[in-house]
Amino acid sequence: MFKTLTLSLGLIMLAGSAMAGETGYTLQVDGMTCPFCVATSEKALKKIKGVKGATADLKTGVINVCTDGSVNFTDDQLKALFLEKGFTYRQMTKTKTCAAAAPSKVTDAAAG
Amino acid sequence: MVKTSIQTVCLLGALMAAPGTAFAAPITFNTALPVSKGEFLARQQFIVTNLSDRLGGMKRDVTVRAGVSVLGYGVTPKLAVFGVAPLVNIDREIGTMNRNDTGLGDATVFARYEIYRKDRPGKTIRIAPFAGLTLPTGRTGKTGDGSTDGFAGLIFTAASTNWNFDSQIKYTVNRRAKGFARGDTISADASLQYRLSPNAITVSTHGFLYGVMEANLTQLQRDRLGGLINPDSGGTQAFLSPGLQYATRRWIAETALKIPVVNDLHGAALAPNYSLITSLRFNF
Repeated sequence: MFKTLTLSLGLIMLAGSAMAGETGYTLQVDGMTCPFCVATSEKALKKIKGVKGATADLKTGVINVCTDGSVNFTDDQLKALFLEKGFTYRQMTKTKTCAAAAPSKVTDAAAG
Repeated sequence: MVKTSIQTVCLLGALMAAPGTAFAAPITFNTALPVSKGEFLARQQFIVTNLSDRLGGMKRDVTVRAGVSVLGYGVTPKLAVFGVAPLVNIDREIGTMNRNDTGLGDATVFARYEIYRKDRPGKTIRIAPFAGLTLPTGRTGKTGDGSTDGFAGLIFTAASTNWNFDSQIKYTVNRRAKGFARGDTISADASLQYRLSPNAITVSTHGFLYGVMEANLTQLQRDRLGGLINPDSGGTQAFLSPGLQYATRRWIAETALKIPVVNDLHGAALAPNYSLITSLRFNF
């Protein structure tokens, strides 16, 4: 019983320390209006070393980025990145996990 | 008269060469939406245009089949340059005369520069002037008109996730070659692209289907041949172009039928019946 409890706690701590490295960013990018805008923005972000994934919400202009923790985005860096793509970077929010970067469901139920 | 037909055909081909972007964009003219810095845009258009009438019992029928290749490049986030090369086949049947010419048409190079941008979440407004040259790369009198012509204009684009609106004004200065000078043209165009599908956008949405309606108005000045005005040239034309467009993350497929609604041409100038435009665009 004691061994099982110890092993379980150990696994939980191990998983926790592995996930602690991940950092999420929520970016607000204006001017994206089409599937291509999403694709080119996601592609540009995924080219950055340490970025594990990026998903964009076209309607709100929010891009959720998941990194391995080695990336430290700056406003100037993101402003330049999205300027080259033809869009306008507004702001970012840094989060401790990548939960926000996971694909979400319908984001524009009222559209159309 | 035959020469007039050739010039009309060449003019139509030039008017329909629309570079666009990988965004939803007009089918028959340009957009102000950007080409990202360092990225290329390739577009291949296939255009079939027919002009025909009966003049004093003589049948006149001209069919132009054109494959128009476009390459664009984003030099900076605001500046994009484009090259347009048409390969044309022109079938002419004027009374008892039959003639068929195939070859490179007159190529076009131009630049577009964004001067205004207002972005909001899922929306944008852009204004971009453009200017360029049409070069005499076609065979004079057969697949080209032999002159180096200049054009300039202004594009306004308002885009959202549900619809896009584009409009353009363009002035073309046509110069003289071998004694012939096609009349200058001024055109005004408008396009509305409305998203038909899907109703709801999700992160897994990969393509939008747009219904497209475009209107094109062109005022043509009279041609000059050896310093004399050709009375059978010039006038006003207006077209409506309904179409469909499917835009994905990397490519766009589209088609439109350009139908004349006003053919107020001077004298015996040959008037267009229709143009069928199909096109594929890629960004890479």
